Amino acid sequence: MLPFVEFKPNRVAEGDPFHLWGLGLTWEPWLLAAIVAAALLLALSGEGPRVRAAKVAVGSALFAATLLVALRAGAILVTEATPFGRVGPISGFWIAALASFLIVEGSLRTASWNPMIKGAIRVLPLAIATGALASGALDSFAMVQEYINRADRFSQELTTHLRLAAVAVMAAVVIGVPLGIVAWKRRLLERPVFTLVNTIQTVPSLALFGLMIAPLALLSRQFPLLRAMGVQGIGAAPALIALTLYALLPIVRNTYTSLSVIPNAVIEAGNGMGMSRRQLLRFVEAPLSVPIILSGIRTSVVQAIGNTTVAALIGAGGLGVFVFQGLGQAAPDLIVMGVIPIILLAVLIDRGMAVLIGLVTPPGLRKDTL
Amino acid sequence: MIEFSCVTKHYGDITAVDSVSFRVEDGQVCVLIGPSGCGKTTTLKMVNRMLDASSGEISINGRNVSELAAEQLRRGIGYVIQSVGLLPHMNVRDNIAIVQRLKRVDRRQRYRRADELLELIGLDPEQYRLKHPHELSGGEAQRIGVARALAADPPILLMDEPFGAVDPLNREVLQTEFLRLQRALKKTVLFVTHDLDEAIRLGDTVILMKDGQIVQHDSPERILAAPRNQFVRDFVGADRALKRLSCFPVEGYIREAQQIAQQDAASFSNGGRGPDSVVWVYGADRALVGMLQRSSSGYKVITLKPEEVGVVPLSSMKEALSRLLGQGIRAVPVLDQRNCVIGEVRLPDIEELNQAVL
Ligand SMILES: Nc1ncnc2c1ncn2[C@@H]1O[C@H](COP(=O)(O)OP(=O)(O)OP(=O)(O)O)[C@@H](O)[C@H]1O
Ligand SMILES: [Mg+2]
Repeated sequence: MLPFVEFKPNRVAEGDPFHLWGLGLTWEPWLLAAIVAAALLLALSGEGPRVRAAKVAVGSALFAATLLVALRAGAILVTEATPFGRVGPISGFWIAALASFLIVEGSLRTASWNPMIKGAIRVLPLAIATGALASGALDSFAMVQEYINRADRFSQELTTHLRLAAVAVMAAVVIGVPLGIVAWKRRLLERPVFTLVNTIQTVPSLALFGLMIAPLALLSRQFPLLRAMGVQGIGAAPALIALTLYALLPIVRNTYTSLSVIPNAVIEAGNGMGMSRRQLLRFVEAPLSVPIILSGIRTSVVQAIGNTTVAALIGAGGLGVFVFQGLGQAAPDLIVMGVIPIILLAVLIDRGMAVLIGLVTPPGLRKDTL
Repeated sequence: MIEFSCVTKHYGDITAVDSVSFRVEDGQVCVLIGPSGCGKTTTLKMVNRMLDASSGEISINGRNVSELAAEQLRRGIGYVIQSVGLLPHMNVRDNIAIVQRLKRVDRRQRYRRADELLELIGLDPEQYRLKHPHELSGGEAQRIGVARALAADPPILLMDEPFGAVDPLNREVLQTEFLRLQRALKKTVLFVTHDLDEAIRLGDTVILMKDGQIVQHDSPERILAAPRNQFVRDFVGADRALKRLSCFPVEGYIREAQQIAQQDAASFSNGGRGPDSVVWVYGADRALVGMLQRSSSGYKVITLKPEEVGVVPLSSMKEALSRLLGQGIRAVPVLDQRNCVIGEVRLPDIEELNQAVL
């Protein structure tokens, strides 16, 4: 079996790998083994609603047990004698966690249960982990130690991260939706608009952030007013511009698509029964296009959360700060501490948007969304 | 009353409608027919100002449409478009009620009206009102399209191939329904079609168009009996005698039918009738179940499906003839809504009607 956790006497030292049975635990490894055996048995026992329910239960139990073993390992390995000691989950832990995710998600995907129940099951492991975190049981973990050492900084960068991404996406909506509409209404502008947004998308994000620096620095020097507003070659201004540009494509594309898929006959029927321009928008165009535009925004937000990481490089802050600090200090735990919240944010926002889109999609169109 | 005087419509260099003049009297159905691209849709769309005429004048009840606000004008005219165009995100009830919603009629009243219209077009409100367009068949969708046009009770209807997407059998059913509705509602209708049988059956007058011009504007019978020129003759085709049967509804040719209850069928004996007579057999609720046929050992019952053999009073004589030929029997039963036999149509009557024209 693969090593499960590692122990490091301090932050930058090499870790000592520990196996599941090498930790001096009593019954916990056996519990984990029993659950794994049960999962294997289930994997061989075919299909059916009962098997599916059992798989979800075993998968969730696997996660709980994995976390439990890691917790106990932390309590045993980090003692008074090693004040700077810390444990980190390694291959065995991650594989068990991943297996748990695959088992649960794989069964949920095909299950025809109430979406609320499905949602609850998906959130459950997150809730358990958060609970463990809040209770202090995870304090001996390396990532958590990194977090505890920077708790203030963390919440500050988290806010910055969210704000950067949110402002960028909002700006992209304000620019992108009209751009999509114009591209649809004026055939002449369709090509140039799409060439532009497509080209932006192909520039690597780091390069785009870099590109922002020179012109903005110039502008800032030329116009004191801009400088007074905080526009400089580095910092939030170039980051926001780059992030907004990146967020444009999905929004412009989906706006355009959402209009182009409204059947002509439907528009003609609306006009023919005497709808005014505003009524046509309200009764026909908006209900049909808003869900598609929203799913473009969904893509943009998720991308923006990821791209904002890079913004730290030009001094705009955000969770990327920890990632790049971690890279600089060769402290992998710090990197992980920055990356995990980014992933969680992206996933949560993605699910939240999916629910929102489900809500605004009129029932007659719902069959092929989500 | 709709009146066109010297109306012309150009699209760039193309003259889609060329100096057209005609009039549709109140309560009448005027059918526009002609080859594809002859300008039927263009003519229709100028009435509710979906298109504006390049020159000439169109008036409704004496008022020039170009002087009316387009939106107001359209809300007063029912419009059934060639491709149905139901709003996919709304259920059937909201689709039907949409014009009234634009007119700010309150919800309860709109929904009551929608149910009424579903009844009227022969769809069960319980079953249909909450369905969405993607759950409807082509024929059902077209009927809903008609119901939507009727919802605000406009005195004028514009219908662009409203039954175009329906198979021939269901098309006849829809035409029959249209005739029934039109008898009750007496709308002023401008109706576009490709199908000559449909034009003849539904129109009080028929306008045959070619290259944007009117070739002949006449009653259906006159179009068939006295084609103005070779184009009309070709368009009408060699079987115009047969087509003429579409002009006549069955109701004028119903003869008394002999019928018998199922339980008495075994003891039936021929009461000395001629070889033409058919004896219809009805079941428990007096609905048609079959007919008696002579066999070596007396009479036996042949089971029939009412919807396959029967016609209704508003069916055309052509339909009756095709049922006769299809079933190989000498008479077709005329049925009411509950499939009870109210009479029959006999082959000799059809033959006589047919000879009259030749
Ligand atoms: N928007 C347009 N721009 C240019 N030409 C058009 C336009 N709409 C129609 N036309 C042309 O005008 C002529 C009449 O078209 P219209 O749609 O009225 O024909 P139609 O009789 O309804 O044909 P169909 O039976 O195929 O529906 C055709 O030659 C068509 O190509
Ligand atoms: Mg047409």
